[in-house]
Amino acid sequence: METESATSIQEKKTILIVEDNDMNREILHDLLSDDFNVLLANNGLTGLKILEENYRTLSMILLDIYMPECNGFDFLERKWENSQLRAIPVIVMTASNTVEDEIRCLKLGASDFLSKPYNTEVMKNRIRSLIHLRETSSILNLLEKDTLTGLLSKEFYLHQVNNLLAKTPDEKYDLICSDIENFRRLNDRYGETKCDQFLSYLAKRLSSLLPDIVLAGRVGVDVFAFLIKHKNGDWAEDLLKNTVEEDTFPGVQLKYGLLPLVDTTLSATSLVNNATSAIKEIKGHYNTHLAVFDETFQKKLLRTHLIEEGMFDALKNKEFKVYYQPKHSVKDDTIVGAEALVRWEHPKLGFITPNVFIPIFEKNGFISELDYYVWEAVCKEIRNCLDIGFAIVPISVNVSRNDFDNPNMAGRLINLVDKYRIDHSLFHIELTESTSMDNLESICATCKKLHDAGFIIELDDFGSGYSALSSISLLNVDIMKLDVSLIHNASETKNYSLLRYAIQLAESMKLKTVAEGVEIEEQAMALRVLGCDYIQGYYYSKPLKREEFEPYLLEYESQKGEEHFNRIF
Amino acid sequence: MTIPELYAAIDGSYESVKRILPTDALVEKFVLRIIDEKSFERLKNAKDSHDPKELFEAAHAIKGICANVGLDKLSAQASVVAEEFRPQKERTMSDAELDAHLDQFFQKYEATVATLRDYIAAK
Repeated sequence: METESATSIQEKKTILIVEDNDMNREILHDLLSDDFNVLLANNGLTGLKILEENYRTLSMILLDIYMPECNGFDFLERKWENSQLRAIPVIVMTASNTVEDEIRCLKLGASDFLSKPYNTEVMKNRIRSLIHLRETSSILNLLEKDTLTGLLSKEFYLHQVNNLLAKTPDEKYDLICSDIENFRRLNDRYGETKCDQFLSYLAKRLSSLLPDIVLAGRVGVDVFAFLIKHKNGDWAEDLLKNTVEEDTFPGVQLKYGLLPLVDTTLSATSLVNNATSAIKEIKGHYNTHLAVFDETFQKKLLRTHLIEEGMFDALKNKEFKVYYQPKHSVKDDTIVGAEALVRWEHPKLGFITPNVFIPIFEKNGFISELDYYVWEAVCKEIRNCLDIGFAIVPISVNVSRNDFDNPNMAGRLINLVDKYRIDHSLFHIELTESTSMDNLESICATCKKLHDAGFIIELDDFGSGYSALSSISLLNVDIMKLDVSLIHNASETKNYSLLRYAIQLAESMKLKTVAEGVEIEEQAMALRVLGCDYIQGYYYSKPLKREEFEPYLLEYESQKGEEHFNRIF
Repeated sequence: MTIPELYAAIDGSYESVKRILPTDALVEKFVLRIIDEKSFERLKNAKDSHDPKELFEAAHAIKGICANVGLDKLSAQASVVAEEFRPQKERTMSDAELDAHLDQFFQKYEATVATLRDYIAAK
């Protein structure tokens, strides 16, 4: 007999009744406990607690609306916020019959209404049909495991992590996320079946490799998340170095994000986001496989966030300032040009240098707008000098790789310069060496268009990366800018051979050379001997504000006379 | 006294209560709970303090409770009070009218309780 009653209890569906009035609650209990396992809550808060603890076995909820403290609306709202709880149907019991209340409940995810006083048979049948409907229509919601990898499904994993962190706030955990570099490309190359096999293999491999795994889930197509017991030290770097043997899946690269000592007050979603944002930072870095989301990283993230938040306003409020750094002739010290550089005077972060914000803008695309802003500022400045009658020198501007790739960029720039009635030869364009590496064809096309229109092209940062000599010959470049590292290395090691080679190379290609970052007499002397044409750097002048740049031009004009304004070309 | 007779004596609807509580045992169990139901006390206190939130909540609860045990008339009287104080709704009765209505309600409630006590005593 005992076993029989146990079976019948198992077959009964469990329902939760949330009702503050003792008598009503008891009536419902008495009416329904023959057919269902009944859990009781005397207010919304208790109801939520019971719901969180029993959501896996709970088939539906009967909810009263008017309760003190956490009422039925609050209950529905909080339940809706949690995707695991959301799926459990709710019947709202109401004695008021106001349409407003009913609409509000439906918006908050209620499935049905029962008017008080309830007809017992109607109530039982509604409960049964709602449970049946839910069970047949939402099998997907019940999936706890990812069928491919055997790890927990995303929703379920996040829910379990949230639950665990809430229950054990003093426990120390680390979170590790894995991500496959260029997974889409691998999918195209190897096909879905092979990639699926690899994902399944990788899940098993990591599950056996990582220490003390508490919860493991598949949180993205190719992203796995492992919550593990906290482990001190730099153990992850080496452990995760060669996760996969070379021949398992040729060409595959894995990236990991580690979140040490997770903040148990954060949601699982934000924790996973933090780990994957760390991974984003090392995407494309061949030699790095692990990114740690530590304090430094968080600060960087915060700064990036502040920068991205403020960039549009900065443009509007003219917080970006254009500075001009003079270029001088090595032969006779005359000023021959200037490079327009941008600085940001951020209201909260203060003065920000371009090497902080430019990479961020290049990633988010804002660089195109900033570039255009600088171009226009330079046009205005040249126009202003021409109007006043200064003997203006050519000014070079930077053009990001994003822009060079854009077939409309040349047209935009030409229109802008023409709008200010400026001779194209006064406007130089700096193309960074790394730009010329990828997408050479479209870059060559843009370069040629600009060159044919009379603009002077300067190849920036030569010698900073892998210099592809073939690309230089393909591009219509007029000037080679020697990267600051070449000059500094040479003067530090007293070995000028590389610098000499670069200058000779430029000479042989009939290109003028500009040395950047020249700070001291010794460097300037060496460059003069090696046959470099122009020098830019603190040796002559720091980047100048517009108000300083104009007197600087004047001074040279008055000291040395008109003939010293030998323009480059 | 049978349950249908009791319902006739307290001016309740036996027909209504049977839709909710299928057996006489259940009906008896819950209708007797009216005697000690705290919501009535709460409404009485709210009447004295004229606290609109309290008036609404207590009346609203009584409306549901009475309906569950087939005391349809008491439920309807409580409903009038609940509607009068439903949040964000304008009042339609004067205080004097409300007091008169509540006096009538409590008179009926006391009478019901007295009959229920007699029923217990006679058992």
